[in-house]
Amino acid sequence: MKHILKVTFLLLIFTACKKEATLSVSPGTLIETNEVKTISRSECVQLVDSADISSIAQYDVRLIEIVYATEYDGKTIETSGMLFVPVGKDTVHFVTYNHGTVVPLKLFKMDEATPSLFTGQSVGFGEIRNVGLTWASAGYTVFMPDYVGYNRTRDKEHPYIYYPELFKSIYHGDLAVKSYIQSQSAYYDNRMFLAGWSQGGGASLSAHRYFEQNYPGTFTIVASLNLSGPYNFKRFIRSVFENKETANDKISIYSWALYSLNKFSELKRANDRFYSYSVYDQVSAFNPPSTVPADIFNNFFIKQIVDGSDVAMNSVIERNSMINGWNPQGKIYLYHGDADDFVPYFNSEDCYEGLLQLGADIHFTTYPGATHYTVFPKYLIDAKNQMDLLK
Amino acid sequence: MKKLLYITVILLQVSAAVSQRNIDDMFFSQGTNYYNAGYSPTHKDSVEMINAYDTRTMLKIATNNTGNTVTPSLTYQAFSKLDRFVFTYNFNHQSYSYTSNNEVGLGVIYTLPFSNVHKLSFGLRGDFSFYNLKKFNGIDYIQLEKEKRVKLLADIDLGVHYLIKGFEAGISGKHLLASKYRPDDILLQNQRGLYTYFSYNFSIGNHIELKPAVFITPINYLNTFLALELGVMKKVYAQYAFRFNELRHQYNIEYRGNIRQNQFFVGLAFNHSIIYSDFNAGIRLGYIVRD
Repeated sequence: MKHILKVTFLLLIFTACKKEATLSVSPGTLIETNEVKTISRSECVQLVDSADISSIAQYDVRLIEIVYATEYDGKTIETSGMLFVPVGKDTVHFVTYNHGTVVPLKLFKMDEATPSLFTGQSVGFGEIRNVGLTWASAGYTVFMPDYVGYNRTRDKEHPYIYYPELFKSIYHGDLAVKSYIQSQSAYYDNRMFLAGWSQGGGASLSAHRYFEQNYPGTFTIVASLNLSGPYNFKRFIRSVFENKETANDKISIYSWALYSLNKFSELKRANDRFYSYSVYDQVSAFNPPSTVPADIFNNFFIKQIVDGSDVAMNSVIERNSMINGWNPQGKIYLYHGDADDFVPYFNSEDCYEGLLQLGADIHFTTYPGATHYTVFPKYLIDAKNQMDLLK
Repeated sequence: MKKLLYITVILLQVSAAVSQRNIDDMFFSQGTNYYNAGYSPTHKDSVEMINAYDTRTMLKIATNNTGNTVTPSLTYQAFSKLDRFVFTYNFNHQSYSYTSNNEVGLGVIYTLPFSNVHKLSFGLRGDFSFYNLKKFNGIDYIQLEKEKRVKLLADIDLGVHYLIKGFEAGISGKHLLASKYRPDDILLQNQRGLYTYFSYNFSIGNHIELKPAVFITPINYLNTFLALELGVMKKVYAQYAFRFNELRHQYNIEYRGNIRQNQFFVGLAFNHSIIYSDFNAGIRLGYIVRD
C-alpha cells in the first residue's frame, strides 16, 4: 500500500512540477531562417490545383522557414511559419496569410496542413500550397504563421478562434519577417495586406484591428481580405445555444472554440462548469459525445449565455466579435458563400453592416450558392486581383 | 446481519476525477454492480459469500483550466446475501469544481438458481444523490438561494444478469428517471444510461482462465470497451481493455488472496488515451466474507 501511495504522490508531484522553459529573447525576434526549397514558375503552375495560374505566375518562389520568438500563455517561446518569396523581385509587396482550422491531431493529418512543413509537396497542404504559390509567383511576399499548437509548438494547445491570443503569433511572426526583409536588398515601404480563410479570416480581420489599435505605425495595413470567417462570434455561439436541442454536426468546432475562449482568456474556469462530459484538453473538447448542444454543455451555462446573465463569459465572447467597436483605417474586403454550411453567412453580413455604420471602407463579395469550401478557388484569384489594384 | 456493520470500514484515499456525472469504472469486468444493479459476486459459483466489500479509487491526472489536477472520486459497494436475495449498498463520491455529489444506492437482487452454474438475477436499486449546493455560491456567475445547502436527486436503477457456465451477460438501465434540479434551467441532472455486458470464461486446465469481454454503453453514441482477462492459479488476474471512443488503453492487474476462509483482492489499474492528455490510475480493494 505504501508503494501505491508513493507512486501516486510522485505522479502528482511530477505533473504539478513540470516547468516550461522560456526564451531569453523578446517576442518578435527572428531566431533563424531556413532555406527550404526554390520552386520554379512552371512548377508553381503545376502544383497549384485550385486555379489555372499560367497567366498569373511570373516568378520562381523561394520557401524560407521563419523561426521566431512569440508569446504564449505569458511565456516567450519559439515558433515558426513559412515565407514564400518571389525570386528576383526588387520591391516587396507583403501579405500575411492566416490559414484555416487545422485539427491538432496527426490522425487528421495536421502535418499536411502546417505552413512551415510545406516543402513543395503536390499532395496535402491544399490551402498552403495554393495560396502561397499563386500569390508569391504573382509577385507577393507571403508569410503564413503556423500558429501556436503546430509543428515546433505541437506540445502546446492552440488558441483556437480566440483572437487576442491567436494574434500574438501572427504579430510576432510579422515582426520577424520584417526584420528579415529589411536585411535583404529589396525595397519595402512598410505596407502590408492581411488575408485568411475561415479561422484565418477571423484571424486576419482581428489582426487588422489589433495592428491598428495596439501597434499603430508598426505596419501600414493597406487592406485585409477576409474569407468566410467567424467575425460575429457572439451570434456564432448563440446560434447554437439558442437551438440547444437541435443536432449540429459542426458542434466539435463550437465546443473547441468555447474551450479555447475559456482557457486563453482571463476566465480559466474549470471545464466541468460548462461541459457535462469529461473534458481534459482541446482534443476531448473537439470530440464531444453528442451533436446535441444540450447533451454536451451544462444547460444552466447555456441559459446564462443566451440570456446574458453570465456577464464575464459574455464579455469575453463580445470581445472576440469583430463586427463593431473599432474604426478600421485600412480597407476591408469580405468574401463569403451564401450557402456556407460551416461558418454561417451572417458573419460577413453582420460585419459588413456593423463596420459600414462606423464609417469603414468596407466591401462585401457574396458568392451565390457557394459553400465554405467551394468559395476558395474564387477567393484565391479575386483577392489577388484586389491586391493588384491596391499595391 | 451483524456483519453489515462492516460497511462502515475502508474509507481511504482521496483522488481525482475530471469526469462529470458518470464514474469511469476502470474495473468494470471484475464487478459491474455500479452499472448493473442486478450483478453481484454471488453469481460466481466459486464464491459462497455472505458479505462482500469493494472499494475503488480513481485518480485522473489531467490538468483543467484552473491548473488543478485532481478531484476526488471514490466508489464503495457492499453485498449481503440472504437466501435468494442479495442486498446491495453503494456509495459513490464525485467532486466537481462547483459542487460534490455523494450518491447512496440501496438495492436488492433476486436470483433464480437453475443450478450452480446457471443463474438469472434481477436487481432493483434506489439511487439517492446528495449535491452540495453551497459551493455554487462561491462562483460569481451562479447564485442560488442561500438557505439551500443540499439537493437530493432520487433515481432508480434496474438490471438483469445471466450466468451459464462460463458465459455471462448483463443488461441494465441506470438513472432511469434522469432526475434533475431546475432552479431556473437545468443545473444538475442524472444521466440516464443503458449498459450491456457479455463475457465468456475459457478455462485452460485448472490454473488458467481466459475471458474476453465486451461492455457497451450507447449513451449519446456507441461507447464500447473490448477486454481480455487472463487469470492464473485463481490468484492473479491481468486485464487489457480498449475503449474505442477515446482510443484509450486500459490495464488492470489484481491479486486475490485468502485470510482464513475469507477472500480479499487488491487491484491496480492504469489507463491512457492515444489522443487525450489525461492519465488515470485506480486502486481497488475488496473483501469477501464466506460462510
